[in-house]
Amino acid sequence: LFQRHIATILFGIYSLFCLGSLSWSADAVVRVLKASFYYILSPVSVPVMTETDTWRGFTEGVVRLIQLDQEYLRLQAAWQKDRIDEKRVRELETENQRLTTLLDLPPQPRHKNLVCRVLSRDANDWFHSLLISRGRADGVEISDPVVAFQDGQEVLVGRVAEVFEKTSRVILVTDPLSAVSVRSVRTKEQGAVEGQGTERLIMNYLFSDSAIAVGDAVVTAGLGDVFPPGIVIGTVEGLQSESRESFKRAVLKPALHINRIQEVVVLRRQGAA
Amino acid sequence: VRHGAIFGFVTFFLGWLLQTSMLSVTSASTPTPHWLLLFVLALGAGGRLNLAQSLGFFWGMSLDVYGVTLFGTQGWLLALAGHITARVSRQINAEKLVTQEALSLAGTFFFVLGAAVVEHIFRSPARQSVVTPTGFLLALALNALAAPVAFWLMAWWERFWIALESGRLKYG
Repeated sequence: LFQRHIATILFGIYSLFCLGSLSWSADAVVRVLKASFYYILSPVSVPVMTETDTWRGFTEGVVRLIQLDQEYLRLQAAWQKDRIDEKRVRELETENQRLTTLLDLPPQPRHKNLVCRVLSRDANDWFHSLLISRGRADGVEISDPVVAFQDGQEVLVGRVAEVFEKTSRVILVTDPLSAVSVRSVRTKEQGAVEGQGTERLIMNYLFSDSAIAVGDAVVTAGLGDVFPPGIVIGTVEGLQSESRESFKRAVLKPALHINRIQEVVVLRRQGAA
Repeated sequence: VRHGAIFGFVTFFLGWLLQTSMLSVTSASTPTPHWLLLFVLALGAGGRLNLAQSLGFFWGMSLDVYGVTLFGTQGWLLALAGHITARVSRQINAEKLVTQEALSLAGTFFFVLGAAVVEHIFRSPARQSVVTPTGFLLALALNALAAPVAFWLMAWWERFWIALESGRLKYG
């Protein structure tokens, strides 16, 4: 009888075992059984998984190589385009110089980049100033503009306020003593951005009928002979106007992430010592 | 097969090796055919009742250990698949492609359904995995595609083993 029904009995045992495991899955006995299965199978499974991981690493390497080759071709094309652009820029610069001379206009100031490390920021002076690693010995002068490259763009940090032999103190754009002539990229309206000692800036002297709106980008206007034009300051976050005032004010969110700043660039006026 | 136990033991490790390799080569999110289910169906359709349900049980338990299913889910479902297929093996011709496809579709359907039912009964609702219609259809399609290969592979392996036992090897 046992021989005749061995298959059914076996299936019954398997079923009982499985149902027992499912019913008492958290039980210590079931966990030991599970661990035993794992232990028996690991000599087969682990080497296979390790080998296939190596193989997969090789195939991923090949894919990466193909991607790098494609990137190389793309970069080569971009480099060639940049060379053509550079040539065109030089031609335009020459033309600009010729026209400036013809019109008898004073030339736009040219700047040389001087990369510096940010040495320190005072916790009591967080939104006011920072100390950089270049000073008089490197040719840094008071009022030199300081910028940083963040998120792929040149953003205004502030200007040099004090110069020491090998370091300089930079007054940040967020300092209440800082004032920068700016313009809206969209409406071309000009104003003055002043620091508040907080992480927000105020753009003053906008007319009451100003078309400036939330989200507008604001850059330096290039007036005042300190900051070159076109350096990003921030974006308009809100507008303030009081009925008795003839001017409107815009609250700006600075493009500069002060807490991420590590290196800055001092823009040295070309021709200066 | 004279040395049934040894044959079963070797088949278990070879099948497990194949399934592990497939799962390791592809990423966790890439669907692969359920080779072990197909092998169990192939063995069952060949009338090997004890071997089909036993291998189904051990393969299933191994999958439960290495997978995300509750310990016992696949063990029971694969054993059941082997048992039922072997019981009906006299009424079917496993060499026909249409039979293999029908077995694969029915086996996959009841396997996925059974796993969902077991999950529903034994696992807390918050931890239950949901079978999407796309995943279900993909499993059906992949197993249907792999079924002829799995049936042929199992038939070839049996012939190879018999030849090995009798001392005359024939490949193909």
